[in-house]
Amino acid sequence: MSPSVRRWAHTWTIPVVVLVLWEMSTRSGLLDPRFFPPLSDILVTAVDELINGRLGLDLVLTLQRLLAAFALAAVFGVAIGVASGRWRTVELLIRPITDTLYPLPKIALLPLFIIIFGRGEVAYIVTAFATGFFQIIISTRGTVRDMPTDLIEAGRNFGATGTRFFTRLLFPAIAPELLNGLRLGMATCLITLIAAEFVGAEFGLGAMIRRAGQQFAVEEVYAGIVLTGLLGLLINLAFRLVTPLVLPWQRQAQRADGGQNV
Amino acid sequence: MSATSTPKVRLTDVAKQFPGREKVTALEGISLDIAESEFVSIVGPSGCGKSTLLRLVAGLYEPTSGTVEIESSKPDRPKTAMVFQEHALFPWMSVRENVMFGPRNRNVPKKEAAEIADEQLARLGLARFGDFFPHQLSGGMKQRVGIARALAQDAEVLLMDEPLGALDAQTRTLLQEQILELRQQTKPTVLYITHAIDEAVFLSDRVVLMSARPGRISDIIELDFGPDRTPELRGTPEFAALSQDIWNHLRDEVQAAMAADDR
Amino acid sequence: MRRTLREKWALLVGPVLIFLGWELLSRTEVIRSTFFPPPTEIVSRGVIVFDAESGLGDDIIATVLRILATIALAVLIGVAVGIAITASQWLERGTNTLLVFLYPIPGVLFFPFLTFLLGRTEMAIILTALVTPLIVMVLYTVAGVRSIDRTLLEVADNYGSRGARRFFGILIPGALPSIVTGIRVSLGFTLIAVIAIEMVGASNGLGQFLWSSWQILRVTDMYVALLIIAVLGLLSSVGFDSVADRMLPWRRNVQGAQV
Repeated sequence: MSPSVRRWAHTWTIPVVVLVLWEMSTRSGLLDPRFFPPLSDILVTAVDELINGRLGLDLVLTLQRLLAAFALAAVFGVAIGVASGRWRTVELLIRPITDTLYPLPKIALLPLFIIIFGRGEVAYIVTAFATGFFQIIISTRGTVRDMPTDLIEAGRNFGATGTRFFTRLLFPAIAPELLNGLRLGMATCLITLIAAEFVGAEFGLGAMIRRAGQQFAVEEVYAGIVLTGLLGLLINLAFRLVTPLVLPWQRQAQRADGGQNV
Repeated sequence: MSATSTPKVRLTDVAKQFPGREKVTALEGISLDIAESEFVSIVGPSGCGKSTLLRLVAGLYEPTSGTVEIESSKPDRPKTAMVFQEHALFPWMSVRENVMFGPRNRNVPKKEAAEIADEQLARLGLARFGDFFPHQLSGGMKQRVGIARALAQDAEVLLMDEPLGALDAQTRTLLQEQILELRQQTKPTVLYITHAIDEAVFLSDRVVLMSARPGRISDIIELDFGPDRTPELRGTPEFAALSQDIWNHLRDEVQAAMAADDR
Repeated sequence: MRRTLREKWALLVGPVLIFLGWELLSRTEVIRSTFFPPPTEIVSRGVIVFDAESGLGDDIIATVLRILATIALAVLIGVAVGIAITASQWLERGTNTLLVFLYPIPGVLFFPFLTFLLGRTEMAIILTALVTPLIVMVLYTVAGVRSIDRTLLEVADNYGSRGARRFFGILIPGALPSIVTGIRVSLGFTLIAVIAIEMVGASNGLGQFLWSSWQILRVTDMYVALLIIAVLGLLSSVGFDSVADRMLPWRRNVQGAQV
């Protein structure tokens, strides 16, 4: 077996085996199908709901909220993160705030946001935004601070000052890590959003799961969970595709070290 | 060197291949005998398989073909003890615990193992540092701990993989002299890898020259400075001549290795 | 980090400004005090923690206990499983695929399922909260073992280290920096999960207190709860870091996985 085939086998064998075992033990009744529906049923339910039910609507809503939350978090998070990493004064000013608010579960802010913004879209977007926002600030400022001083001095020596410092020197230098931080930021936006929808919303993927749970519709609960996982994968995939476009100078020497970037 | 008794280490036609998309032949046709208390150095260009060879003798790798035999003088004596170039001390263990590591793995009682460790540390001039931790030591000191650890094993053969390679020139010179002293004290059988030809000439009874990959023995130079040599040896004309001679042998191989790197 | 006196003062500027600004704007109703009660009011309301009638003190204890139980389980099971996995490439890569898929799923989503199985019990809460931290601990443990310098493993082999000695003497200490980072990250996720679950399905706890305060629109009480949760968050991050750094002085910046 050649090394790449072997790698592929290592990566996919156990998941496939798990899926097959699941299907078999649930169909045969070894696992109680009331609690553990067979995979095929889950899939059928998901497709059915997409076509005939509200799942399509829920998904679209979740995606819209996610994109809005992430866009805001990215823009403001990077801006503040760069400022914070670049200028010590800024860092000292905002550090107590970011370091206090970062470990606070933003989901706890949802009730407050609903009071302030009402029961519309905004509360959920802001909750998801809040998580991504702090995450991106922290990862961005760390990246900027870790920029090798040699690189900065060389750049300055060759005339990269003022705005050029940012466009020609800083951003290209931090771009790979920045992109990675954004990927993680988007993932955390997703997690918080789904949880927020689950806790308090009427529509959206998270809300659908809660509703299904209340009605003991087991297949739908599983379908919702699987879809959430798939959305996570989608985010990773999207970034993996976009990265070489934004960073053409990075050779794809990076292997898919899944668990190394969690 | 006459082989009137069985050699301490015998390599017979050893070859090592690494599988992969392109099979890499690291070593080919290596046959070598090392007598008891003999100090043999291996020099060669980067990538010629010296480290692989050492690991084959250590038993960390299996040869693809050929055999490695190490003669046991006592039943429970460990066959080999390695000294590595760097990052070889366990950062969470004290110096003494690091040196005790080998004996403890053979269930030697703690007290006895500690005594052995302190004995070896004293021999390396580190008696005071038993309770220190690696991150508190300089590079030279860390390497001495590594050597003490190997000595504490009381193995049949000492294997050293460029132990002085990561040190600055002055520390290196000093440690070379210390190794010479140790040689005279304990008379171990040593297989020693180094890039520095002068180091090999200074310390060894024989210098094995290896070719670029695939690694083969291209020559073996006998040195007859004897086990009682002193550091003044470095200033002698024979020393310089031999070093130059070896380098001349080696130059072509090193250039070949560099060319191979321009893939 | 050594800070100059000037820098120490600078750190205070932001929070002080916010505190004063908020107080002022709220009292003058520039921002609605029903949404943003003045900080002084929040702090003074904070004494209900000690008021037996409010039950807030008990809620705090309940939440903290759940967090401790969850993190203890996550660490014990996660580290054991993580190290076991590294024995085989099949296991390591295969489980990695599964775990990376499950990781972005908020643990609270599993709550309905666990209540099906176990009813609305404490066990269901803890097991639900356990999901994400457990995944994190396994991933960080595996990364930690992988991060052990190859030379050290060769030394272990050459000097005869095997079995339990190798496990406890080499693998665990070697993986420890990464494991400790993993615990820190897991603590964050545990807090999130416990609060979220309490908000939807518990009869006590800080999350539940927050939720019921919301239902009856006691905004100041909500802020008190948020304040306490924030303090818990700080303890589990900054507090944890200072303890960890003291216990592991050799903790090089071995980042087995990224945060």
